[in-house]
Amino acid sequence: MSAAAPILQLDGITKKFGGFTALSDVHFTVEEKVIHAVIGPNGAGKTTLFNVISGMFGAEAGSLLFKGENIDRAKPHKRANMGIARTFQNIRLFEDLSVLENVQVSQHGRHFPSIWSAVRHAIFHAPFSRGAQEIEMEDYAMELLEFLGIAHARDTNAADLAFGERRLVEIARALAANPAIMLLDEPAAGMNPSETENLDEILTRLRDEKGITILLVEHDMNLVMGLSDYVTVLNFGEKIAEGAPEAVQSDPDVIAAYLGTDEEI
Amino acid sequence: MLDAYQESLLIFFGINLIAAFSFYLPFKTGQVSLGQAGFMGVGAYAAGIITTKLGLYFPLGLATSAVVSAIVGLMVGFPALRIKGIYLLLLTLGFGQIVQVVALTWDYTGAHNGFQGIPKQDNLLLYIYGVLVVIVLFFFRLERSSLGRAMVAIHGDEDAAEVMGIDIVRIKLFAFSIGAAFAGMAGCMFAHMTTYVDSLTFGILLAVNILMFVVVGGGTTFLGPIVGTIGLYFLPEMLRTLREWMELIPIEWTENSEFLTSAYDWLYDFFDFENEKRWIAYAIIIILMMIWRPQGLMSRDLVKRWGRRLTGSRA
Amino acid sequence: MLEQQLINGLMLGASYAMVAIGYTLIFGVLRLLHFAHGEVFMLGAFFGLQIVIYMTGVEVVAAAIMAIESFLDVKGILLFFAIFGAMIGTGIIGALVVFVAVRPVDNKFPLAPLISTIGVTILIQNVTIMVFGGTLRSFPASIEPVRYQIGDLTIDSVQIFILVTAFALMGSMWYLIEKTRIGRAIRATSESHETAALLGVNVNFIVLFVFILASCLAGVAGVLDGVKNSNVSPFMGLEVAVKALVCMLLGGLGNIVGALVAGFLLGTVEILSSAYLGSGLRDFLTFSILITILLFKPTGLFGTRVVRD
Repeated sequence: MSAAAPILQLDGITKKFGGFTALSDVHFTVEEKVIHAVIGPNGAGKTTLFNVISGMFGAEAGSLLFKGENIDRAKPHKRANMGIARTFQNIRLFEDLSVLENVQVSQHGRHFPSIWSAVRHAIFHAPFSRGAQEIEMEDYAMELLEFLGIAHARDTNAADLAFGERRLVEIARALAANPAIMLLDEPAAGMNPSETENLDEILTRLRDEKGITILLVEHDMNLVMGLSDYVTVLNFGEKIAEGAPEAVQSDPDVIAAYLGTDEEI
Repeated sequence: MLDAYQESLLIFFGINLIAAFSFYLPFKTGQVSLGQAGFMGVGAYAAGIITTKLGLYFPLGLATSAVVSAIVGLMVGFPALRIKGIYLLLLTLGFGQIVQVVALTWDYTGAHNGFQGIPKQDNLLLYIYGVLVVIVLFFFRLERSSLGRAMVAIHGDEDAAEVMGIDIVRIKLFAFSIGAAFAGMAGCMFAHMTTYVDSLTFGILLAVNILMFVVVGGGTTFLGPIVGTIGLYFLPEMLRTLREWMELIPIEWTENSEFLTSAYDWLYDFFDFENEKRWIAYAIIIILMMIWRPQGLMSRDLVKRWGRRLTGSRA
Repeated sequence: MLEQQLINGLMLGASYAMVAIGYTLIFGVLRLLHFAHGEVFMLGAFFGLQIVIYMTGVEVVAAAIMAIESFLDVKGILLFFAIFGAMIGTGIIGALVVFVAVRPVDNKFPLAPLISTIGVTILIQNVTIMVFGGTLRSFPASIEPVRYQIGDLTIDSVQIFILVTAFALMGSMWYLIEKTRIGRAIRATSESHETAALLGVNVNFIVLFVFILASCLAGVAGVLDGVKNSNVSPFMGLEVAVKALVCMLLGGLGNIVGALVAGFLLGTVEILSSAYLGSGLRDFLTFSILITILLFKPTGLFGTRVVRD
């Protein structure tokens, strides 16, 4: 673990829906350049946690620090442009856009921080050429698609892709925002074993080659235990354990939580 | 050259097309507005005050109509950010109705007597098509740019777009208020063509027509509003001319057969497309169109496929 | 005079409520703004008018009606025929709308069914103009109104008839939706087509049924409105349609009782505001209410149900 400030720090995050407490006083920190898994039985609050970190939901209590800076009041798009990217468990690609365009969408905020710069760019560069910025965006997007091995699908509409490829496009789209940390919500769900293996390799390379921190929610325990540097366990919205994968696996509370809900660990 | 009828046909076509574009821009970000007729009203009255009451030049009136409508657009667009779907439809419909009530009660602009004596503008055709060229170029560029992609993303999944770093608030507001500005200019042109507007001019039926131009033409490419407006605006006019086309049939074809002669006469009578019959045919065509192509005549995919065919494989 | 205005408000509100209930039922099962609903209302008025004209015009029929009326010692049998006929007529129209403009249109594109019902609006209006002409037509006075004096309040038999009919219909509508099997199926379909289908509900039939039901209700509202104002025109649909939309929203989308209450509320507010503030401000008030509700309480006044678009 590095000695620098943690990339993400959660201080007592609490989130309620009506009378239901989805997250209760959750504390933990995510160190830089690690793969950090969040596991727990269904309904433990993992996706809610992602929604709070990415800013889709506001939390009732607690605060969020990103690289030491408080981001409680930052809007979702601001957080994305600061370097927090995410994928969705129930894949949410832009169905009307091609694969390449999907990836380019998340470059927009970084290239055009204000509406005026975007409008100026749209209107004023030579009417029939694409302009240096467009070419740069496209090249970078293609680089990412090649990295993930889906460059062949660049012009396919997102709606027409196979399921496994849709998961990869989600990851490519999150990567295009140049994130410091990526929140991956069950990236292996619905993948076959060879696709999962490919994903394992991709995530490892993202951490080692690109130096991206990955916060991972995943149900595939083989993947989680093989891949993660650190694991946090949630149950009913509360953190019940954290530590290295091996330590967490043998934690009696964790075993009880999973056995209690009839899920295999 | 054009005769007066053709010129007025082209002028009203142009005004309708600008109005269709005014609906199309916010629609690109998923905002469906039934208030575009209201913004036309705002533009018409704002420009009318400049040219009629203050006696200033038309271009200044045109600019004022755009600016005032854009500001009103911001005022409507801001609360509109929070609501979607049918709620937004109802909100903009309510806005349009309130514009009508204001037009009906504001004494300065004639209240229920209507806004009278607006000067008829020369060269209106040039102004209209000048504005249209600018608008079409704008959309042509927009749809090949990052901002255009961002708008399609917002239309598809607003929350996902926001999490991907798109400032949906600013982009939606921009689209809504610039759309309102387009509508304002259309209203200004309209007022300086007819020289008279009142509260009924910019009613819900006009708003619905504008919506139809875009949906029938296709709401995912700027060719949609163009095709839709051409189709729906000229269609009723074309139905009128069906009889003239029939008269092109050579007499020998029908004169030897009693059956063909009577069939010809029956059809000739049937094609008496004035007023109601014309609108009935128009309505049937619209219903059939929605059954056949619910996504509209033009679509982004279609344009992309054409573009690829045109440039070989890809540019 | 306040009481008199309240009666008028109730009368206007009855029209709004009956059309708004139809809107909200259709919106409930299809998430569709049925744009032509106001035209169905207008058609109802014309059907009623035609029946009254026919029955008073043909001697044999008129004589038979007279005989029945004197035998039972009542007046206004004709109106029942008008209402019944209009119900059947608009019911058929409602079914036709489903077969022509709703079922064949792919509702994956949310604006397409809206546009096709706008097409139906144009169609109905212009067919009506073609058949009946574009001018106001007056409703023959079919019953001699008897005036009753209750304190300062004057109410005539026509008004009583309208209110009683409206309430009876809306009451049976409420019973149908809340207490019967088909009502339960309608409510299930409003929640989710998939779930309803899983529960064995024939969703296509329910949609058809709801359209017919809503159209019948609008048709009767049209007849009553025609009788009340003693004239009908092919253009009478639009304003009622827009106001009923406001009522639907006020009551909460998909909320039948809400639409009913909102209809009477809006009718009363409109009559009172045009009486005391002037008619120009009436619509301003109505649409300000609409916008306020949209911005601050989109679930409607009663907030019982939230329907996502």
